[in-house]
Amino acid sequence: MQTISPSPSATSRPDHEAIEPRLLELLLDKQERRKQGPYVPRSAPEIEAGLAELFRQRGLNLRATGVRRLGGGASKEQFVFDVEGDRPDEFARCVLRMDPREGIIETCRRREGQVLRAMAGRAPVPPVLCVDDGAAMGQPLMITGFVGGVTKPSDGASGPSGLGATMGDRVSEALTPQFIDCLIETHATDLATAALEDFAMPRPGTTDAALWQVNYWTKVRELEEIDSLPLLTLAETWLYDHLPVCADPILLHGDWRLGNFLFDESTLRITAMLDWELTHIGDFHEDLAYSLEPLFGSVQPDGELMIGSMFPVSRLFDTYQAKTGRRIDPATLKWYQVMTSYKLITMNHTSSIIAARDGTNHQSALLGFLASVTAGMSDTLCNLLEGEIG
Amino acid sequence: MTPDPAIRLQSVIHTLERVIIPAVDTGNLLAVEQCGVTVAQLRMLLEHLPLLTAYHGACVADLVATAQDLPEADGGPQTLAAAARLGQVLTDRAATDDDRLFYHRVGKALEDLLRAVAGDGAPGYRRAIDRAVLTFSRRQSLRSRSWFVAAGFDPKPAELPPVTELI
Repeated sequence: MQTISPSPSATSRPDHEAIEPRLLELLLDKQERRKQGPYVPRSAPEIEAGLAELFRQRGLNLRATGVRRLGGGASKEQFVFDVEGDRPDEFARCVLRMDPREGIIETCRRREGQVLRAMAGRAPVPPVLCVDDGAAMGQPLMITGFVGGVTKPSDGASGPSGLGATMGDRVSEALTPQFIDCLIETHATDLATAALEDFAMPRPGTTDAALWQVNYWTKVRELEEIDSLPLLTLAETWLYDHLPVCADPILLHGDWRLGNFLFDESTLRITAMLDWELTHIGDFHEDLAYSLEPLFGSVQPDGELMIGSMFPVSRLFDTYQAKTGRRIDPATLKWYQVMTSYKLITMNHTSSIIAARDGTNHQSALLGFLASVTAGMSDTLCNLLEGEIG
Repeated sequence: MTPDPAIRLQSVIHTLERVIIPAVDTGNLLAVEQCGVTVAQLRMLLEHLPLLTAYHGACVADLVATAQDLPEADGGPQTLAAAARLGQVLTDRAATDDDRLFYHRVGKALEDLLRAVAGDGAPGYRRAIDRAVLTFSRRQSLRSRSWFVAAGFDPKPAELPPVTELI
C-alpha cells in the first residue's frame, strides 16, 4: 500500500496537499492528455484490433470476436465480446472497460482490478482477465468476464446511469438484504491481506480519511472548475472546519447505489456489484451517507427517502449496525453527507462540463445534459448546511 | 432577424426526430442513447431560448445584490484584501456586458472571500458572510432547479414554480 507523509508545514492546520498519490498522478496526467484534443469513439473493428494487440503483448493465446458496444453508464467506454482460445469458461464472453480521454471522473483501472480480485469469492463481482495502463490501446483498460443480469426490471423506467429506476415491491424485497450484505462484506475486507498496492491507507484515529477526500475533490475544482458556485466553497470551508476522526479505516465501495449492480430477473439474485472505480479506504459512514443522496433513490409521497428506490433508511442503518457492531455517529454521518454532495456536485460541475465542452468523451451530449443534476444536488447541499451555518 | 432562432432550432429537432434518428442503426447503442439526450437537450434549449437574457439577468442581479449587502469587512489581512477585491469586481461592471461572465467574476471573488474569512475573518463577520451565501444559494438552486426541471432529474419537481415566476 502507498503512504502519505504529513507535510512539515501542516502542524495545527489540515494539510491541504495530502492526496492519495495514485489519484493525484491520474488527475495531473489528465491535464496533459487534454491537450490531445477531441476524442473520436472507437469502432468495433478498432477495438477488435486493439484486443488482438493486447493479447499478443500479454502472451495470451486468445482471439476476440463479435465485439459490440455496451449501453448505459456515464464514465467509461464498454464493449462486450466473445473470446476464443485458451481460457477458462468464465472468460468465454468478456467486457472491456476502457477510459475515454476525459470523463466525469478520473479513476484507476489498476485499482479497480485490485479491488475486484480482493472481493472475488466474497461478493458477486466479475472475474478479472487483465488490466492495462494504455500500452496496447492508448487508453487504460480492464477486461473482466461477462456477468449476465439487469440493473432494473426490464418493464421499469430508468434515466441515464440507472438513475430514477423503479424496482417494485417484489424485486425490492428480494434484493434489499443481498444489496446490504454486499456493502457489509466490502467493509469486512481484510486490508492486511488484500493486495491493494495502488491504495493509500489513512492512519487510524486521525482525520486523514476525511481530509484526503476534501483535498482530492478540492484539487479537482482547482484544476477543472470553469464556472463559479459559491455554495461549493461554503461547503469546502465547512468540511475543513469539521473533519471527523476515523477510528478504523476500511475498504469502501465509493459508489454503492442503484444502477451499480446487476440481478437475475428470474431468480432475483444479485449477480454482480459493478463500478468499483471510486473505491478507496476510509470511514464506513461515507458509503452510508452516499446512499442517502436523493438522486440515487426515490421519495415517497409522505417524504420518506427510499434508498435505491427499494428500502427506507432505517432498514439500512438497523441492519448495518446489527450485523457489523459499528455504531453510526450522527455528526460523522452528516459530515459525509455534506462530503457526498460536495463530491457529486464537483464532478458534474467541473470535469463533466469540460469534457462536454471539449468533446473529449465518447458521450459529450450525455455529459452536457447530466450536468444539470447540479441544480437538485445544490438544494440538497443547502438543506444539509442549514443549521450548520451562522 | 428571420428566421427566428427558435424556428431554426425547431427545424433541427424535427429533422433529427423524423429523418436522422429513424436511420440510426438500433444496434449502435451509443448512437441511440446520444440521440435521445441530444433531442432532450435541444428541446430544453428551445424552452430556454426566449428566457436566456432574463434568467442570466436575474441570477447576476441576485448575486450582485447579495455581495453589495455584505457588512463591512472585519478580520485579518486575508479577509480585508479579499473583501477589497470583491468590491473592485463589483464596481467594474462596465468591464463586460455579458451577464453570465459577470456572474462568474463576482462569484469567484465571493468564493475567495469565503476562503479568506475561514482563515482570519472575525467570527461574527464570517457568520454573516456564510449566512448570506447560503441564503443566496437557496434562491439560486431554486431558480436552477426550475430552469432544468425538463431534464427530469429533480427529486421533487412538483414543488417547483415555473421559472418565469423566478426571473
